[in-house]
Amino acid sequence: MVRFLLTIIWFSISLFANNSFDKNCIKCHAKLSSSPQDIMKYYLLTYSGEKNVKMGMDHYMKYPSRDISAMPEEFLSEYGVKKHQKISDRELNEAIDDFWIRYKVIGRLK
Amino acid sequence: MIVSKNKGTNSLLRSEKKSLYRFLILYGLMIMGIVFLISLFYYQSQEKLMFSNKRATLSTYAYEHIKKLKTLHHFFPEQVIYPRDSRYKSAIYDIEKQKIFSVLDCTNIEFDNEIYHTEDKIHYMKSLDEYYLGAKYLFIEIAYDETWKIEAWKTIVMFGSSLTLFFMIIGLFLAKLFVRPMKESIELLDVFIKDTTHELNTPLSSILANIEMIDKDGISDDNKRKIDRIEIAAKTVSVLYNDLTYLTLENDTHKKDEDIDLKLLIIDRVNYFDSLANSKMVSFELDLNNINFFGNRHKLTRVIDNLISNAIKYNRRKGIIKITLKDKLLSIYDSGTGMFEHEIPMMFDRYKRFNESEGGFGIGLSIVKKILNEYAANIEVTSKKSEWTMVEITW
Repeated sequence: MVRFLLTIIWFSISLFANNSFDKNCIKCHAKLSSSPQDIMKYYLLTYSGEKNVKMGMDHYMKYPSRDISAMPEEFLSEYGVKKHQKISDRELNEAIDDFWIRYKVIGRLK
Repeated sequence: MIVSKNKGTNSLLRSEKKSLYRFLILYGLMIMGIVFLISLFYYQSQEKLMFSNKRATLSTYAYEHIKKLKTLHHFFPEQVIYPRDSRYKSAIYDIEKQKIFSVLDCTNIEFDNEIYHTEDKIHYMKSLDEYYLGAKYLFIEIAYDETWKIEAWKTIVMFGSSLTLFFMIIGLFLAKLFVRPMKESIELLDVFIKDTTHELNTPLSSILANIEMIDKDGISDDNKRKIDRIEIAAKTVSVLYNDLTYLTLENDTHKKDEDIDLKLLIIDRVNYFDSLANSKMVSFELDLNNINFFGNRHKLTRVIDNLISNAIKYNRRKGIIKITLKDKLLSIYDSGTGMFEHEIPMMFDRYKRFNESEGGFGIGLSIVKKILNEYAANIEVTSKKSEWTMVEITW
């Protein structure tokens, strides 16, 4: 039942999504215990700046490995290392840019 | 050609004075340099000390602030209020030096210095090991208290002045040591002259008195010429003797000032030097008005004797000497060897001689200037080498 609901949600999002991140990433991340914001915080903790974060993420997406993951050991033990990304470089870059814009810290502190 | 006015006569010659001044200037510059460097080092050390004290405080603030950032990182985005503290202001920047958030008053920040100050703020930069909220650099800002600077300047002024004073006293001591050999050599010469002069008096007086007593009509022309030469030589020595006496016993001059007829005095001295002038076939041209001068006869005689004596000594054979006396002007012109331009300023220095072929100690003109200084009279010398010299005295 839950799987059916998630499939419906993913199908709906995919249907109405208008950016690469929503189209290509949310499906899997919706199943994880760490939210995309949490993942962004792990990436910031490791890479600090925008360019660094994007480059680190791009590299990990293309060559996923436990050794270079920004995520904690507990997370990797539970969910493992992600599979190789099958989307194009352009789509990947767009997805990362969308991810950065949506979850960055700069401009959100008061 | 050149004018030389009254200048004080010291026991030191001009070249020696020049050396002394050069030493003092060099020493003064060196002392100023040393004091400046010491002051600079002291100022820098005080600044470092101030930063060192502030660094300890700011480091504590930074440590506390990092803990707050860690908490905020954990609770972000539920909590988005950046931590603030009344004791300091702060800012965080990412590894690409992009501002994440800042509450600093002064936005002019430097990533290369751990601690520095702007006009009115001190900034401390802490590099984070874990990039909470993406922050690599944390800046802590506090007000820049310039009290240390005022204290440092006070100390620099106080100790700098004391140090300069101390070194100047040492410098004067060194200068005295530096000058002592010159002074000693001059004093030695003075003592020698004084002792020699004392021994000259009796024989010289005896020679001149006996020449005066000789009946020249009763002797042959050949012997007469010989007597004349003895007289000239004796008078030359007499002028030197009188100069030396004045120089060594000048403080013992008891004679008081009186009203002197300068015309009569000059004629008297011209007559005195007549035999000396005749020996070189030098003729006098006198243009003398009746002028009186209130002064010491002995001293004025020294002035006139020296100037006439020099005019004869440094004249050419068959030369002329023109002496003019007008209102407040006495000029003595000779058609002699003249002097170079650069020699004129030094001609009044004691023991200074430009022509070694003539006798003397080089003291005559030094005496002339000293006496003229006493009477506030000016002396000007103009000359053309190998042609003429003109000495003008005005009062």
